[in-house]
Amino acid sequence: MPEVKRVLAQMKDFSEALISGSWKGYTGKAITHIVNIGIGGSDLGPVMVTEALKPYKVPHITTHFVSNVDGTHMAETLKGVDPETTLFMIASKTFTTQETMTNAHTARDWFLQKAGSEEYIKKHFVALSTNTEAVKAFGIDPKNMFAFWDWVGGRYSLWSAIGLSIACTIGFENFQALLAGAHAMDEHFRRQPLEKNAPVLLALLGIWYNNFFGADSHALLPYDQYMHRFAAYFQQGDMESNGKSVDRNGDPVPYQTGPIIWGEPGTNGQHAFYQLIHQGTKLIPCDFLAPAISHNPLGDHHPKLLANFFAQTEALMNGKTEAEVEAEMQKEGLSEKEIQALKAYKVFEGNRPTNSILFKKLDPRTLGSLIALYEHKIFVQGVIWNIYSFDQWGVELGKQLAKKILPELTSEAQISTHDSSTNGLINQYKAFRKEA
Amino acid sequence: MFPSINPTTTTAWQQLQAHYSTIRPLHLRSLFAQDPKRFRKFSLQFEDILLDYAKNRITEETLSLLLQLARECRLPEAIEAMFGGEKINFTESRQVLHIALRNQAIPLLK
Repeated sequence: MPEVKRVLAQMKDFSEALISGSWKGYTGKAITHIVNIGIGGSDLGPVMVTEALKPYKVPHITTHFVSNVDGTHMAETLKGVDPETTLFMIASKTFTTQETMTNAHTARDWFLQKAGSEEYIKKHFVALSTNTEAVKAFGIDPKNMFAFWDWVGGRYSLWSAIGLSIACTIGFENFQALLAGAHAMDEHFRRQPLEKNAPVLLALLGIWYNNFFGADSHALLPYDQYMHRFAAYFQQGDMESNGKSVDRNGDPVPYQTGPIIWGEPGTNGQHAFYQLIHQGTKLIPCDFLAPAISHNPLGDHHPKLLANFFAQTEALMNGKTEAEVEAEMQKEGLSEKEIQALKAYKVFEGNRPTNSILFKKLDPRTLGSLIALYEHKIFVQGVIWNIYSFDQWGVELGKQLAKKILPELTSEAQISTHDSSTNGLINQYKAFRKEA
Repeated sequence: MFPSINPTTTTAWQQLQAHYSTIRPLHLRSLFAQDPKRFRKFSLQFEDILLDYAKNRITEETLSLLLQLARECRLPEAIEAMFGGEKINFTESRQVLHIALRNQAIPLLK
């Protein structure tokens, strides 16, 4: 695919110019801050990866991500940057995404207020897009438009030009290592027999709990602070892919499809929601992930973290029997009466299923492989559930209605075009603002 | 061809339903006690990544039925359809080729 090579080479040149400082802003200074403006797939992937690979970050460039149309997100980001040394990446395939273009124009206005001339826009704005006309109209040099294709879905786009913020944050070589790690997993997935195929096994185990045990969620629990956006990333990856209820023959599915994906890094989660996983009434299959080697070998932090990683899956599996609880309480010197009153609460049924994914170190190649592992797991589940995993029609309706509601918020009139609840909310919103 | 098989119509699905009632009362503790090779059977290594799936409520029979389900749903064909560039994103009539973006077999220009 010559186009893939061309854009990758363009990304290499650009990221190297930016990192070396040969790319200059309008006053001749090198870039020190990148602000990536995008939402959904144009945001979640780069955020997750740049956080996960922070130890590989080039020291003199800081990357920020603005996604929410809530003006707070952009306003707070702009407070910390200087127009002379800031580069904005506008990530929108069509260059029409409402949230992204609203943020992009706010950034453009802010920049022009300081820089003055529209001529300077091309030194401080680049586009990850395919809409050449709109990109030009914005003031961006089409040479600094990084294209991608309709065969790259949003939630798979960090591997494409959308990964430019990653390449500029950790360097192009590390970005390539990320790609290589994913490619290695692609080859494993394609070539290995099903019974030795990691994504296939994870997918089948998920189906076993989802469709036969009736589990309705699945937790991703990385024991690595750098992976703190991993679960959030795969909320989109999984739920947008397999949150479907019409099968590939056009019929409604009479069985369960994609689970609810959730999770937080350990050990924080242990002090929050693990109670329910251990003793609640719901079966929650969990994936525990951890590196053997930490990027930050401070004192005994890492052995303590990993001791918890090993202990949790063991505890979830074994539980604690009534006999064990009684023996423990006797040892603590509790009276027989106390033991009888309390022991039931201290019993752990166990038998909670988990996968453990233990890797050597969270480097770019390993992260690439881990992301591809989950991507293919999701694909396999979609194949078996007989649904289409690569579209996302379910996100459309809300967007349509928001477009219809927006003009109603700026008009003076009482709104009566919706149901009584929506009307009531909109009218109270307007009343609150009038009082202010 | 991208398959379109209702999984509940497969033999494996029926067998898994029956098999579930055998597995449900079993405790992982006893599964581990019965089989000292459980970790070796239910783990695999890929490069520097170890996947341990031994702490799942499965036996060898469970796994073999799940793999049969995958085959009856023609998973290998579906995988080839994606890698072969078939338009498996049917409702938008698109190929699904993020895998091509990371295929380093093509050397980088320059």
